[in-house]
Amino acid sequence: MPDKLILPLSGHIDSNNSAQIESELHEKIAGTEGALVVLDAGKLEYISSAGLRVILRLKKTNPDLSIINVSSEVYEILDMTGFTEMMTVEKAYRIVSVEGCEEIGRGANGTIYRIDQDNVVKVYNNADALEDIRHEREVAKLALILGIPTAISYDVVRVGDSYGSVFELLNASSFSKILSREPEKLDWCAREYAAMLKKIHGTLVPAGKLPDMREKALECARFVKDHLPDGYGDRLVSLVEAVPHDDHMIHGDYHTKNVELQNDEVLLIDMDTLSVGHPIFELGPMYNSFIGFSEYDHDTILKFQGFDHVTGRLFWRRALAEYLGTKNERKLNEIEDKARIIGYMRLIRRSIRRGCIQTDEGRQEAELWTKELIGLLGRVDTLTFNANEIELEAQPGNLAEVQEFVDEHLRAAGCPEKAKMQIDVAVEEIFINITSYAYTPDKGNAAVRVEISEAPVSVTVTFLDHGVPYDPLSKADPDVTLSAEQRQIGGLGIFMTKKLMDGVEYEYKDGQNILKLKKNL
Amino acid sequence: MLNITKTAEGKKFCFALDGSLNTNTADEFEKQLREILPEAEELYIDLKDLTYISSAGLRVLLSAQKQMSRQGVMKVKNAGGFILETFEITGFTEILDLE
Amino acid sequence: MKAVAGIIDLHMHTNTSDGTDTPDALIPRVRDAGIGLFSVTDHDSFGGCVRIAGILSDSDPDFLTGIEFSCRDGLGKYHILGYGFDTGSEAFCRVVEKGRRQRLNKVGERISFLDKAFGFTFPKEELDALYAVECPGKPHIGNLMVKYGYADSKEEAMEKYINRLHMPDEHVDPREAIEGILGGGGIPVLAHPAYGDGDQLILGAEMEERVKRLKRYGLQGLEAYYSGFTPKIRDQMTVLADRFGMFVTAGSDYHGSNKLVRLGDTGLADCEILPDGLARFLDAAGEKMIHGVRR
Repeated sequence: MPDKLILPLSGHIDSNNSAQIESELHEKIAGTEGALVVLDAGKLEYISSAGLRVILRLKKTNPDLSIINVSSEVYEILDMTGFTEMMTVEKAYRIVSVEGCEEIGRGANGTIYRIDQDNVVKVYNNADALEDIRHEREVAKLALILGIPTAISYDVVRVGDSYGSVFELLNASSFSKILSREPEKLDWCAREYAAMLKKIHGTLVPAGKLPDMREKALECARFVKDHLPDGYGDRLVSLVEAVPHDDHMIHGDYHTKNVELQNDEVLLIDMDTLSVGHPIFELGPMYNSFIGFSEYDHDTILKFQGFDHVTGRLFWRRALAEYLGTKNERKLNEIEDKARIIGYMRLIRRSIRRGCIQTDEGRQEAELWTKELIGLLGRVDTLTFNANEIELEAQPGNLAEVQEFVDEHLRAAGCPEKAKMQIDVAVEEIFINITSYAYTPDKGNAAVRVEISEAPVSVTVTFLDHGVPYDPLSKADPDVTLSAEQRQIGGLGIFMTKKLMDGVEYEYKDGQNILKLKKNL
Repeated sequence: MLNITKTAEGKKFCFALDGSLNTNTADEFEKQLREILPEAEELYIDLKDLTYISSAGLRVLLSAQKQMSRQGVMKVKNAGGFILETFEITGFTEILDLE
Repeated sequence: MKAVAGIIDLHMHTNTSDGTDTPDALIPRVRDAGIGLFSVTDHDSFGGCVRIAGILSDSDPDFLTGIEFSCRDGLGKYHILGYGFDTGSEAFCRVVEKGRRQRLNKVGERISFLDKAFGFTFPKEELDALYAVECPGKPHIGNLMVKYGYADSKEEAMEKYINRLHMPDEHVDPREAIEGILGGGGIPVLAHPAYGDGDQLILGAEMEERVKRLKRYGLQGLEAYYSGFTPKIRDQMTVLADRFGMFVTAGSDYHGSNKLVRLGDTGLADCEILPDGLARFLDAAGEKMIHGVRR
């Protein structure tokens, strides 16, 4: 980006002073090499055609010339004469003060204040504010088109030295506020929060419209790599590299101050970090906002969100369970660990970049995060996850957990009670089979995956294990016409499974026994 | 979870099952049955409150039935809904004496 | 239709009025700018045109005589250009003389004002030289002031001192100017129509009224292509000219080193084909064009 040269115009410009003003302007421009010239018409009261000619000539030598802070009278002249078609002409903005206004949210590049009952203003804290405002507006429009409820700014104003965008946000409470004032609503909040998140992550974005969070995560990993002991840094980078590209939307800063309840509608605000990417890149920062940031100093979250770290942790777990569709602690821990890797990585970089490690506290905080990160890097295989699958030791004691996990998904799919019973029995038969035969006498793991498909609605439960290759379907069915004396018990479980399910398939592939049960609902 | 309510009257025993008869709970039921089987002449199993049965449960019922066939009478009462369907699919309706 | 090779620029000034180039020095500049047809439109004087016509060679661009009158009536201010007139015409010269005399009077008044109000005096020879200039104006006085140290720049001189004197309204009437030009066999054209006398902005209904009125007096063209016009204004003026069946001309208003306007900068370069109104003008002015002779 070339430098910007802002030249003020003031008072009157007509044939009496236009030549002088023109030479002054040219003098100021002459010193700069190809700078972007911006005329600031904040104090310009009147311009005659002589003045217009000066601007026209300026445009010929500075094709990217723009004029800002134009009063409505001058704007009319520029519009009437066609200048607005030839160059960027921006009207002067209304001035707004946020003194004494309540801060209701804070994002990466701006702070949100409530200026009156119906409106909030997001004040940007950098010089490129107008560009950011334009970008956020574009992004919010895109989100709205794709079906995400959000507010669009309707006006741009000046706030002190910077700019702000004004949104209509009536009678709204952020989820942070609700959590701090009405703790009994925690479960409801977690459900709505997770529902919005699922909606966001389920939204496919056309290529190129939003930045790729994977790129940013890789940059972060490479930065942090140099601050980790040998081997761990490489591990971190390769874990992030292995995360596949994903064109689904992620918010980028999804904490409870950015989710608002307006009347009965849940809205997402602060869209400037909207990106695309794998959900783990969202869960990492989320972990940070509820736990990570205040892991060392528990008061941090109280200051930033308004609720304490106990509520933060509780909310995080509830919301994660709602988002994943399972209460299985093993699963939640597994995914929390992956999220923590991304989370700590970002916290460490932030700490270093902001010089926080200059203070004792900052250093200790960073050390804590680093220690946790190293521990996690030692035991996490991959950052990707499947909410529909759990892996656990193949032993009978785990049967209840497996059935409960499957049942959660069945309930979510609206499975009728009878079918659920039948599936539960089939699950037991197969799982117990694995516990009995796959690894005996050694131990081993089994994975259970539940997939629901629509139109027609059906459920497929898949069992995977690395044990002895065994095809349960190869055994002959027991003869069910025999009398009690003659009946054998063997093979009954598989027989029941085949009878109760609509489809049973087996294959041995890549060293795994894969058994699929299918039931139409 | 399985709640087993055992009532005894001399050599007549009655077990009411409440809950699920699966791999994990079948062991306990089997243990209680084996305790009384040596002397039992009449064995009644009430499945009114049984909501779930897997092959493990069927196995226990089958072994009890085999033994009782030699020494007395065994009846399975109030098998309904899913339990009865399971008995039908597996041919247990022929093996057990259902009431 | 007469074809013109090169750029057309029908509005420029020499030091006969408020430009800085002598007529002799202007010709090669015009040629180097790639101009194929030009006209010199000094204020209230045509001495420069006479000089140019006399020295034009066949390797120089074609030339049209020109002049610019600053007019005013009760309804507004106008700059009226005249092209291809006969310098010997009495009717024409009368108007020119009137304009010139008014200008000289104003100069006289300004000089005495500067003396009375600020005590600025100039040697007699300078003043004689000043009046001898065919068309002296404020810039000439301004230069004098700089020369004698009364001001740092011509602009400062004008803004701080010269313009302090408010002159009574003595101007040539637009009707007079138009009739004079027509009397001399020339083509009257309204200079930078939307800008009035150069400092105003007139568009829409007001502009239409103006053009209608001036047409009644005999105006034949609008300078729709002008260095100070945006494409939007250009289009509006062209549409207006077409509506009233008038010619369209192109001019830069080059003054030399005292203004930043460049020779040939008329906006015509944006056109792929010659505007119809301009083509008709070239037709009408064809026989009045002066082609240089071999020298």
